[in-house]
Amino acid sequence: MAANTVEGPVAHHFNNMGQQLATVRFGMWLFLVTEVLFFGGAFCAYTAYRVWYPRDFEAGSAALNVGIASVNTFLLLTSSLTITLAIRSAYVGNRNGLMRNLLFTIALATAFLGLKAREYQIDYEEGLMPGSYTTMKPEAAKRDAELRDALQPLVPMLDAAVSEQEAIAFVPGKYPRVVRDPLAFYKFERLEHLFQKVSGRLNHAPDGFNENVVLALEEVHYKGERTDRIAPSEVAAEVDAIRALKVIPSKAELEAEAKKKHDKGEFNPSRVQLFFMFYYSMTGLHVLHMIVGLGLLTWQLIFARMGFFDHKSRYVYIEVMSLYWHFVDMAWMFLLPLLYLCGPHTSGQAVEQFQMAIGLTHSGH
Amino acid sequence: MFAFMETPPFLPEQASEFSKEYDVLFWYITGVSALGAGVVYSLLIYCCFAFAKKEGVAPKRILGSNKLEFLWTIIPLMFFLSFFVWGVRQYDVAINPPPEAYDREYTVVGKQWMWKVQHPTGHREINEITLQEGVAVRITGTSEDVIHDFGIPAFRSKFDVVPGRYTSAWFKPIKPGTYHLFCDQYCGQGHSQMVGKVHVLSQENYAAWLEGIYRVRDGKNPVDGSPAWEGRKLFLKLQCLNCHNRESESRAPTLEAIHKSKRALQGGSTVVADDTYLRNSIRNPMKEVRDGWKPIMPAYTRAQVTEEELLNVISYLKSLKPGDLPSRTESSPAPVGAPNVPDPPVSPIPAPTTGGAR
Amino acid sequence: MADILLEPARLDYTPQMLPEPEVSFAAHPEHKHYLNHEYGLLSWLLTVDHKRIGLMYLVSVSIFFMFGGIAAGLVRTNLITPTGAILELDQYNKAFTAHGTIMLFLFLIPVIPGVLGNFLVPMMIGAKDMAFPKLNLASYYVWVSGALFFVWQLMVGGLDTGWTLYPPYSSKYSHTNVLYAGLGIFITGFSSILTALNIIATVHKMRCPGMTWGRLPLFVWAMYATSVIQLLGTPVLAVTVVMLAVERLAGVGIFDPNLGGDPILFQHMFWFYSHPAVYIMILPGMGVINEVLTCFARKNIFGYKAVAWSSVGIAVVGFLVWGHHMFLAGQGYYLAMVFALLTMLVAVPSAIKVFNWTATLYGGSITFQAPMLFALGFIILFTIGGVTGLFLGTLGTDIHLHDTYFVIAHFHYTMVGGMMFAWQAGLHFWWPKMTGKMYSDFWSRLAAIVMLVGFALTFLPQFAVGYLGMPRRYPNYPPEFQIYNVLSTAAAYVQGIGYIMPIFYLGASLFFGKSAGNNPFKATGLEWQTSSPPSPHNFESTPEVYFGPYEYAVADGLKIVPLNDGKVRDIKHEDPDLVSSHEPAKEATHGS
Repeated sequence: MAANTVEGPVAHHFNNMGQQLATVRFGMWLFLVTEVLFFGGAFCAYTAYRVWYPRDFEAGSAALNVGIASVNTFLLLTSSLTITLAIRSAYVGNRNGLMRNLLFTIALATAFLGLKAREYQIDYEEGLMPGSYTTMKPEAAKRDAELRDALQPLVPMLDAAVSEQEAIAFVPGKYPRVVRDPLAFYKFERLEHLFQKVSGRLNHAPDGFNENVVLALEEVHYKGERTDRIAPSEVAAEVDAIRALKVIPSKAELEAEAKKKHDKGEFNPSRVQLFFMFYYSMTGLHVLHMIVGLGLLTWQLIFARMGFFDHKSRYVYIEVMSLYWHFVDMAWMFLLPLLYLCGPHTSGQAVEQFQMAIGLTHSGH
Repeated sequence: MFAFMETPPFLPEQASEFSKEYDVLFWYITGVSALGAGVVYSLLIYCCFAFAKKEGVAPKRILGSNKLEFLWTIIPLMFFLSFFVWGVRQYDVAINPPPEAYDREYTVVGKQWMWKVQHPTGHREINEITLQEGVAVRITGTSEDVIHDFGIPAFRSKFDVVPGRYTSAWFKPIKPGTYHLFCDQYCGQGHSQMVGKVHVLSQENYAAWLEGIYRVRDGKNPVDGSPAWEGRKLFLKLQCLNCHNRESESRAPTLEAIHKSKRALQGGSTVVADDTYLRNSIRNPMKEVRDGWKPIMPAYTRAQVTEEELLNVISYLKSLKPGDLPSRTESSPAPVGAPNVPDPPVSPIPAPTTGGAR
Repeated sequence: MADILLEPARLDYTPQMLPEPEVSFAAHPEHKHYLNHEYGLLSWLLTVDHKRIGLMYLVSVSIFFMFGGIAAGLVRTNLITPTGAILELDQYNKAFTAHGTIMLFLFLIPVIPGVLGNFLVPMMIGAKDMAFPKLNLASYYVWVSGALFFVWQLMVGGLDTGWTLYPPYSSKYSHTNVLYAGLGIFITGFSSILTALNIIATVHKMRCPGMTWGRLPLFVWAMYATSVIQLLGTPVLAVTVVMLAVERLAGVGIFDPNLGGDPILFQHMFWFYSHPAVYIMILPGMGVINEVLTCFARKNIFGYKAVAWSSVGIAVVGFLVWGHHMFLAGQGYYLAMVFALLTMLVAVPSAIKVFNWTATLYGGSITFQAPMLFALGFIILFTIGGVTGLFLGTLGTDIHLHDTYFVIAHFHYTMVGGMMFAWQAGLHFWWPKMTGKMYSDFWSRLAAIVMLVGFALTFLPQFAVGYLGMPRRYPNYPPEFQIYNVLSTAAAYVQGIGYIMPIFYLGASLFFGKSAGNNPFKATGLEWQTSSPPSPHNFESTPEVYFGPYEYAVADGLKIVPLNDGKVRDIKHEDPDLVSSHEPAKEATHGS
């Protein structure tokens, strides 16, 4: 179509209609480039962690609600269709058609957002929130108490391990040196790791350790923070295992132990939380973009009602709106497989396994 | 305030094997850059004088020259690539330790705002690292909290210590002396306090340091953190000086030059004062009493001096040469248990059990 | 070399004042220009005129520059003594962070695109305004509100993470306003994106007839390359700041190793923007230098294509070298090698430019007014800044110099000695165009010299003390470094005086300056074919362009022929008789 001949007002700074239309479209494409880079940064970070922690991310993904996501995909794709039809309506000057198509797009987008809200609600009820999610559930207090009891045997054990490891020997003929009992040291390290999992605190210094042990325990008792990293039953099992240590495992044995845990499907709760952080951030960004788009669509609908689009040249504003909308759609098409479809969704077992591993009761899926 | 009046340093010390190689590349790049800049500047100055506006002289219409463009693309590129190749070779040397360095693995943990260095022998230092001249060592680091950077300019060595992972470097000191240790990654309020000293000692001095009897004298700062120095502080704090002093030997023998000396005990036997003897004399003085003195020395239990502190006291005693004992009038830290001085916090450890452990 | 000269020199040629523009508005007795055609606060606050918006940026950016300068003064004064002369440790940390963030985000990045870019790009391509004038105004408001919010956060709680915001310190340990400061950065970044979008669309779609890509002034090429970088890079910074904010709020462990995160990931994402950001800062400055050098040497630029393509080359390769900030951070060995090689490649276009500029002076007819002094200062200082970058880009030498004062001296030479001087050159060059007044020649030349001497002496000792090993961001330092710090601080005060001087003589010119005339420096370029100050719509009728920029060594320079003349002419460069040839047009494009 000959750009110069489309009927409509030309802005003061443009020479002719063709220039105006071309510039408006070009401007929107440039903006979309920035949006690609914006989402792209988040996608890159997500990809890095997905590669590093595949099982944990798969487990998190398995817990998401694919059904709602599928319906949402259908709604969003259809809205892309309706807004493209709206361009045509504007181009030929069909005001009613334009309003109708815009209205459909708005309706479909609203339905998407409504379903998304419901999906977030379900996720919340299932406890799939990053941060101290279990404290949002009423069972959190019970878990706190259990954990506190499970940690009781730790305190004297840690002290014993600390004093054991600092056994001092005078080696005749040489300068006096601190000889660490390797076994004791290893037990100590295991305990320290266990303690890290419980309190989230990293301690490398055996010599200040006792104070830190006490302080961290207090944190566990009184603040209840970060108690969701390890289930209380696991603490007791770990403590027994450490007590029973007679020999220091070799590096190969340690790796085999880690692999066994890995294959058993045990998940690292903090990494699964990381997945959910990405899930909420990326879908949240997408929702924000949809809300902005919804606002703009509504504005265009109102203007259409007022006769703004009776000048056929103004179809270009519907066109750039549709460009933005298609981008939002495309972002969703990337989000869907990356977030929702990266785990074994064919069986409900994966979900159950995950929920049991992190100590939640199965709430009906 | 007027420290700057002394002659400032101009070039950093070349204290490690790598420093020498490093400086050659550094000055090569400097030379090439100076050459390039010199060409540009001379042309600039020449043009400013030769082509300053003169009446009646028209500017030339010169659009460019492909030949010149090519030349001044390729020549800088060649130089830059030479920097790159040489730089990669040096980087290779800097991050790949020689095999002998793997026998001496040091670890360092950075935390806000101090360095905790651990020697392969078990020695631990805070904000200091003592090394032997001519011996390549490898150092591995991690951080407890934020990212720090363990940097020793005299060795031209630097590596980030990152929480959650291990990073490492190696160096071979070749020049005895004391050099700066800096934290080179911003880490918060105390970033500039996270500095320390690197002591490179000759072989004999290093061996003596290992024994705990070599005191690293910095010249300006007498406090050096060696075990012997710590022991000296304790000697004063625990009031040993009240009886064991140079002024009078009525209550207790002076302890100067005690190490490895023969001591005559009550009951006629003679014993060589080795480490075990010294330790027992402090822990259980009634057991072996020196001939000629009364058994009035109190026993120092674990509650008063821990094993590690005891080690430091023994190091000090071993280092005592005639005339070294402090004068009785020297001011000392407040003694343990003195009034108006709060007792140090007691660690919530249960009472020590018997049998060697604390 | 005979092949260089394309025509013999004309000995009887003397540079002439370009004739008054043949456009109709100049004939109006009381012609209204953009400053006086509308009065009132609202006419400024709601303006969509790119020139007024440029002036608003000028005022705001200058105010923030003063803030950043005060922070720098605090930092340098504190470093007079080894134990810190005037600030506590945490105050010092807030001061250097404030200096860095304000100077980078609120001065260096927006200054030339916001002031000169907005003001000049439409005029240089013969357009009446930017492609999206209202977006331009919105972009200004977004910027200024983000900047005010950011500065408020700095005052209220401070930010002490350094401008680099590295976690885990910024996400877990810092007790300052990381979250809100990050929000401020996010908002100003958004404005950066919108300005860039505007400039790209303008350059693509709004060029007047005959203004082909090959005839664009190099300032426009530089602005275009800058805008591409801004468009592509800033969103990554935005998402990085968002992730840092989430980390700080929720503590989920994106960058926390205790929880499975990776602090190095932040560094990768941060530097992916922040390295191209330094090219955002320097490229517009290089663009200005092209304009100033050619005007004051009365010559074409040497190697137009080389300079234009080197801007594009810097923009493209600049995205590939971010890892050279992280050589010691623990990234892999082979990755470090790749980044080092690419860094050497990105150094080449800058070198090409410096050689081209120097060659531009050859055979010229040079005068030394203030813009030229600033431009010459740029070449001198940027050369030093550029070559010291080589030390840092070479893997072996970076080990010792990383995070020392050597790095600080390097980037100050490029950013201040480079960009700041280019900004001063541009400000002084186009001041008569923007305001219609001429400033004092003597005071402006003096200010240039004071700035040059002050700046050079401030940072030269820092190379030395950095090589000796003095680390960055240290309020206390070993006493033997004191002499270098004292020298540096003393020269910094001189430099500060240099920066304050333009306020006085430029300000004085507004009230007492002579009227500048349309083209006081007898420059080519479409912007000089407008009145000073320009009329609201720049050109009354669309200009047509017949030859490239910088045709100084030509008898009549650039002429505009109004479109309604009916004749379309295309005249080649090499034709000495420019006015009289009437060849058929090779490219008659309208609003390409």
